Amino acid sequence: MSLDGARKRIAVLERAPTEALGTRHVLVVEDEPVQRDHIVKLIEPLAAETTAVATGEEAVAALESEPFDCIVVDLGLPGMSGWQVIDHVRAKKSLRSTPVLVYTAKELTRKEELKLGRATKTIVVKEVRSPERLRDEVAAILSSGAQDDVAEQGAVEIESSLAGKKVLVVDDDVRNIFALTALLERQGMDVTASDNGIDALTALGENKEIDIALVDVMMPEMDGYATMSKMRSLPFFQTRPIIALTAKAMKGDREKCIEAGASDYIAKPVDSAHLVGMLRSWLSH
Amino acid sequence: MDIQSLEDIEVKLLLEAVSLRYGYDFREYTAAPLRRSILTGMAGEGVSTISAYQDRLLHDTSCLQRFLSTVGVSVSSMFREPDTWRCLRDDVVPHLRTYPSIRVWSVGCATGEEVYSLAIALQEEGLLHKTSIYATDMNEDALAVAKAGSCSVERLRSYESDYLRSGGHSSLSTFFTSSGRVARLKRDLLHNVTFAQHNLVTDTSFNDFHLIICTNVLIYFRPTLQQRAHRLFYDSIIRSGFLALGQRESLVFAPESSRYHQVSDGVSVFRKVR
Repeated sequence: MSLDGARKRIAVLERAPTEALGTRHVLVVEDEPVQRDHIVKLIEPLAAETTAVATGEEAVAALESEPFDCIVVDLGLPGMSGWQVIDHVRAKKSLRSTPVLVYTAKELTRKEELKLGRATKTIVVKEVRSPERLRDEVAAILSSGAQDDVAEQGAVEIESSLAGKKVLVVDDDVRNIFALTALLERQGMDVTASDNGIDALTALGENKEIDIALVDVMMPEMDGYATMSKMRSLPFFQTRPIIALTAKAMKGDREKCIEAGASDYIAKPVDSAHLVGMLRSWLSH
Repeated sequence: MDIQSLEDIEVKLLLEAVSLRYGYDFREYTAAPLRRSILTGMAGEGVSTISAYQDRLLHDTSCLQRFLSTVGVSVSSMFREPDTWRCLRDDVVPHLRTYPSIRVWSVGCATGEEVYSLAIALQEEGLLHKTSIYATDMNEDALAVAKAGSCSVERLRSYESDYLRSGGHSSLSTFFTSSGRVARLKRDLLHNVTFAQHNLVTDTSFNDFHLIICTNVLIYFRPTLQQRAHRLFYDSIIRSGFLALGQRESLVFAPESSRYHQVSDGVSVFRKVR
């Protein structure tokens, strides 16, 4: 076999696992025709079928008519925007678990990214190396199937005493924000999430009904210690429980949390059952 | 019993004492450099036996801080191992650009030279504004020095050639303001940097990162501790994210070594592939 022949053979072998995903169907929503064709060409080898549309309205119509395993959507569309398409997907129970990949040329603010992050797992910014990443991300989504967050929490029992309680989650670790939000919402809690201390204090000021706060220790700009002690200086929050989330296990780290105003603390990675038990005990006081 | 084994007993007891008293656990650090650190520490305190040093360490917290500054610390400089920096700029940065925001963890940042290099390189590549850098070290004193962002003008000059070899666009001096013999890193470069205490021996993952840089830290760890650190890194790197080690370091002790591939020959920069 020639070297070239061998290379081709290897390439075929490497593609084999993705070709096995023969039943997958991907929806591409992109208004710009050249880009749309380009995306379709990238994804076609990965999926059994690729449907490409130019507008949000067409996307919604396509989603009504048949199921998809992945949606690739541009944010800036004429008429109905990509944001609205995502809102539509998340609002409908039958579509909610469909993975959404955002492919955008737009620079996103932290807030926009956080907002998108609750609805989509993957955001690809259009750049030189983006086609390669888009292909890899779609392949990963198609091979992993539906989003796994919900399944993971199946084991934790529902505590009826938590239902309706308002919780503020403050963590810069995006994995944690989404996992905790999903876990606590499943418990019927009303979750407000911030990825930094400054936003958390604003959120607390705007929502004085918050019953309990979970605060990560290590965060940019204002760390968890400062955030907790600032929370404690708010008259209405002086006696409500604050639980510190910490990756630190050294002697004295716990004391530091308590000194800063924490009522209790829980080690990262957070054990769901442990957290739910802790919330129940603090909220039944 | 010969002197060597008596010393071994004393070292063992001292490490046990420090761990019980303060929670800093050096028992899985490699023996030879650790012994050198202890001897350096003893000379600094003016004590003649390891047992006497242990006594002081137990009763004097400031003595511990001085000890921490000598354990597991390499002499650091900016853009050290320029081939690694070149690889980060040429092979890693293009991938980082495809993310709306980027998180980088500088592990064992010591007195900050690596963090400054990172901030400068990312600024030149136009990515610093959307990057959060987490710079951690177990030693609070070192972190305080790192946060200050200053360095002598002479030392800064000595970094210039490595900076240029790393693919630097201009001159290091453009990123500093100098008054007299002290150069200070321009404040905006450290705006997105979070300095925090974190100990690889005891602490866990606190975020997931697009890039983790940990150069010449693991060399002080025995294989068991290296494995722990590698597990922590693997758990803290996003899918298809990157891990940069020192040029002479490898993934030999990483149980996850088959889950990375080397980005470029001759440099220890790896990409998580599964």
